[in-house]
Amino acid sequence: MTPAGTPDMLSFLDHRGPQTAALPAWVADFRAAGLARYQTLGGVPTPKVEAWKYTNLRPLTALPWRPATGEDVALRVLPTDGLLSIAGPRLVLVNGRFAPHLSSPLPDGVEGEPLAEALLNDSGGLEGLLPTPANAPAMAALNAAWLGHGLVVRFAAGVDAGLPVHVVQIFAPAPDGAPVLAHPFLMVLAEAGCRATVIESHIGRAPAFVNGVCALHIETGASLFHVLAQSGSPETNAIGYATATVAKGGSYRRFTLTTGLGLVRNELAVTLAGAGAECHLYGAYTADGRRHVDNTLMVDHAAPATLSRQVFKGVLDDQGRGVFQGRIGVHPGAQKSDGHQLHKALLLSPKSEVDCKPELEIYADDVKCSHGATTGEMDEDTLFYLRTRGLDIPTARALLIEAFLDDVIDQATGDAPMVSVAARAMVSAWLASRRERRNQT
Amino acid sequence: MAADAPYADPFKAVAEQKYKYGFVTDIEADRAPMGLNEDIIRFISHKKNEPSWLLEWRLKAYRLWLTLEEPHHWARLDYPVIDYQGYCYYAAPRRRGDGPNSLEEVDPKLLETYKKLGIPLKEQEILAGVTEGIAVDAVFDSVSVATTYKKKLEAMGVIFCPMSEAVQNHPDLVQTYLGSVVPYSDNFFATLNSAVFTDGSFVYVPKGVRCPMELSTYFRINEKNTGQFERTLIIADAGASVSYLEGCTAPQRDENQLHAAVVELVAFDDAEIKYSTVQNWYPGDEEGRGGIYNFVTKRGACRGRNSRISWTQVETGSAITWKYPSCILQGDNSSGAFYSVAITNHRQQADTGTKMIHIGRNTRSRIVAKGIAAGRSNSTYRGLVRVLPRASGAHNHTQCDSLLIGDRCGAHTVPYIEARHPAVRLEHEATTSKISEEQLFYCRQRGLSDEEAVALIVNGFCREVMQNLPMEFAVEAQKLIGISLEGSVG
Amino acid sequence: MALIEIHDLHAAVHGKPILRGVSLSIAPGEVHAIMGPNGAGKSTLSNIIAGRPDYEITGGSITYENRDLLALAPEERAAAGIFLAFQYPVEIPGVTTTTFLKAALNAQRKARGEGEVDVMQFLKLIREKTQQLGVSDDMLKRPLNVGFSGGEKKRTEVLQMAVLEPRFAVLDETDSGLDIDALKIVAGGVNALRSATRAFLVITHYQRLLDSIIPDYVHVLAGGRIVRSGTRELALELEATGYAPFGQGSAP
Repeated sequence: MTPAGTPDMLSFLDHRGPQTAALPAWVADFRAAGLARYQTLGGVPTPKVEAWKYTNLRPLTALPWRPATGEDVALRVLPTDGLLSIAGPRLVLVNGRFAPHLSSPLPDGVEGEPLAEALLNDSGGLEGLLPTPANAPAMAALNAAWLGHGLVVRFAAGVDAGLPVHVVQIFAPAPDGAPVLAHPFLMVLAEAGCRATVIESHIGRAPAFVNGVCALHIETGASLFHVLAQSGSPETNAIGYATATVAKGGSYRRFTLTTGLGLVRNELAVTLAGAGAECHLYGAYTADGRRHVDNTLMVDHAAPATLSRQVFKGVLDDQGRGVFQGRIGVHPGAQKSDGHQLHKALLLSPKSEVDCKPELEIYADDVKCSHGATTGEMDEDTLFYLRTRGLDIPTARALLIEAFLDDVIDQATGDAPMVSVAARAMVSAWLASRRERRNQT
Repeated sequence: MAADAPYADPFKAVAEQKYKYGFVTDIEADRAPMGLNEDIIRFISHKKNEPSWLLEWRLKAYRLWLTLEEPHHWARLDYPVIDYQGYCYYAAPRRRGDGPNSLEEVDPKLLETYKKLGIPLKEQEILAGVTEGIAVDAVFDSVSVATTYKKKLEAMGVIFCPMSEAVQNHPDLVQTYLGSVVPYSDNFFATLNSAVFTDGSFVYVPKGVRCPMELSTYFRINEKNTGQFERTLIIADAGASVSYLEGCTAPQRDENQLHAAVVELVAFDDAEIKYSTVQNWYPGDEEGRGGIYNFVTKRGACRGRNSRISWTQVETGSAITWKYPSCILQGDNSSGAFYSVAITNHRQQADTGTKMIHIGRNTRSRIVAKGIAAGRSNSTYRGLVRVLPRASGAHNHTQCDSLLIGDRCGAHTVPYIEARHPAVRLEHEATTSKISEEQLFYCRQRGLSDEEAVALIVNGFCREVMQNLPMEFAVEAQKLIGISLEGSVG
Repeated sequence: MALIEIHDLHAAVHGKPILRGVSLSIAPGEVHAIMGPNGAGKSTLSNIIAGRPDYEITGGSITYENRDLLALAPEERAAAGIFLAFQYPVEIPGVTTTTFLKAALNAQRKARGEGEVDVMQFLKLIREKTQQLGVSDDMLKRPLNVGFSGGEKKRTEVLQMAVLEPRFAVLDETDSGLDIDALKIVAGGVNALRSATRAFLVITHYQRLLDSIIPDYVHVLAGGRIVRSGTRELALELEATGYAPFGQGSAP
């Protein structure tokens, strides 16, 4: 039961995707389990739920969202925002639904299948790879209740995929202009020993509420570089829950770059499940206007000799709000684990805000774990120095903001020059729009 | 040939924990009937001859408390729901006649108890310029049994007396400040305390006076099934300064005893309060039987410009510790500090930290927290740094370090950092480590035993905090660290 | 009579044999030097004498002052007068050099049934020794070895030796990483401690140190065994020939 007085996101359930009758029996059970879990947890989380202390969904859920339908797929031309300048095959979802006419063929050793088809075909042991709704947080459970649309991407064992595979998620206006609600599901399977890059772009074009779930499996010795780039309309709100399981000797590198959208929450739970598994999580974000960017990371060292790194940097302007919650957990027996986490926030305006909760939860003694967090304003001395060299204040500030974020872009994309260049272009575009807005007012 | 003996696993728990304060004083006591209801509160209030406003305040708190739920959801503590009817809320050693007015009249058994605990209840000749004395208020179960150096302090205008006495002699001060930092509605345990508090210390340092000696209160829970609910209030008027120490022990008993104290500090312009605690309540046995449940609300208000409050704590005792000494930095340029060592061994659990609320401009706070976990214990640092929109120039530096001894314990760090003003500098660092085999071997090569080596290394780890303790306490606290970790290495 | 008698010592680390039958006898007043190529087992020998865990004794014995040394815990060996100057001295954050020295001295005195050292006397003792060794007051106040330079660390090791006054001291590559001036200070400290009742085992890779600390005997350890013994001249010979004639750690 949804608590009384809270908006109910369930009233749309009747509109759900592919007809249950045509699907394997377990899909209905899976959705039912998702719904049950969502209800058990009390529906949309309030700030009273510790994990949602700093991000309040309630005002958003009050809007008259309408679930996405097939008609939204009418979009004809692929945008060129964000990281789409980078070459590589594309798999496109519009409002969570696969758009074959915008997508391109994949190279050998890489498969991409729309989830709706994958469910109908019941191919590749899908059921066993889906995250169990019984353990999911509320919004991910709601996504499970809606399971139907999305993508399954598979990199075959040992393949070196070469060009990055783009997974493009566009949130486009519905024909009737109603605010769109979507529950896309994305799965990436990096089989043993493969090397792959996935660039996931979230591009906002319309009032939308996206409640995504992403499941990543990095098998033994596999290496996956996953970029998530979020840009576009502040009317598009995207919350996502991703799980990544990294097997023995596997490596997961992630770079989350957010320069657009309205309310954003990127929740990522990484389990370093096998000895020697690694994850490197980087993030750069900006929040201006009334935008809200929440990065919530949980890294579990569940096996010995595992390594994790988290470096996130945020720039907060106007009434923008940044949230960083990062937890490093070391399980009993996960000796020789090495975890480090850093969050740095730059506050530019008196009304901006940043809330940071870095956590360590350690149950093994022979470990090396640390975290750091700094929050502050731009260094006045540096600003002055630049002005003595002839830069005006806006230019000097822009330069310092760029340098602040460059540092993490460098770390995240050091060996991927194309991504590096495109990521910097995204930050420059944000700075240019910021300057333009400043000039207008 | 393998030389097993000298190479045995140094982290094997073998030795028995030795709690040297576990004795019971055999003394007749006045006790309230078991349990809690409005009559009990009236009984306490009547015993203390309180004015009606205070009784009303207690009852208001009690009625609110009945509607509150014991907080179990956020702290990393695991304990059964407490049966509040299973405790006695008032126990006092029976007085001879009208009660002691001077030390000579205190029951010799009590004097003996404090002597055994190493607490000086005799006033000593203070050699001017050579040693500073310590004034002691001794609280035994629910009441204060002795306060030393009262006369000397009175001469300077410093009030240092049991809370119950302050209610009689300085009702205006008490009424003005009681609940002004920790309101009766603050939280479950503070509300309970407001309803049933019995004694505690009251300190008032007038304008411009630097208190000439350390003030200290020594808390002792003696009676079985007794809760101790003391309330301490310290006010430093403009330009005043005071250093206050608090120590706690309890007998070794199988049942869990309850301690829910409230401490309120108020510092005005340019005033300074330094509050130090060495908490050594009975921690329970190796299997987690018995021990004190320690739920404490401590908060200081830096009301005035340039006011300073610092909390220093060495927490080694209690089965459960739930404690967040905090600073409300209201005055411009005010500063707060929290220096903490929390050691847990066997089955102890500690969830402790601080809150630094920056409200005024150019406010500063510093947090140094050292958590040491051994045995099957869990130690959590939980801290909040919040900068409100007016607090330009706020600055916080936080350092949290955890040390794990053995692979069955847990050490956790949960900081909350909230900034609502851009002109701030907030820095947080945390590390987790263990005592390395190399360090242990190096120390042993120089002749130290395993336990001596661990105590030495842990004391080094805690140095930044220990340096903030007054000398008299620091030496005791150093020894206590060694004692608390006995049995964590073998 | 020998102060320490090592007889046919075999030892392994993590199952890998390192020492394959070392025998050595050192009498009070003597200084023995052990030289040898990298990986010969020099540091293993010094660690075993001091009792470091993780070393498996697979055969042989060490007798010290007529006692079975191998049956003693590291701290018992220390109290019995054995001192190891570490090749890599360990950092102990927050514990000042003075505090550490006092703790060590008192622990050893306690083990020998002596009372704690008088604080004033202790400070006087430290002052005296620091002046001889060029250890600054600042180093005494700093946490032990934390942020010390290589030379400072080694000087602090010798200072500890001077204060603890062992009967048998092992210097494990105390010369490594020292410039010539630092080496002279360290050697001077060691020489000042030489006496008829005290013995030294100096482990080094280079002959250089033995110009300053003149040994009575020199042994070559290679492949886990003492392959040659002689007097000071052997060290000079080694300087000319290198360790090649003994094979780089390969056992015959």
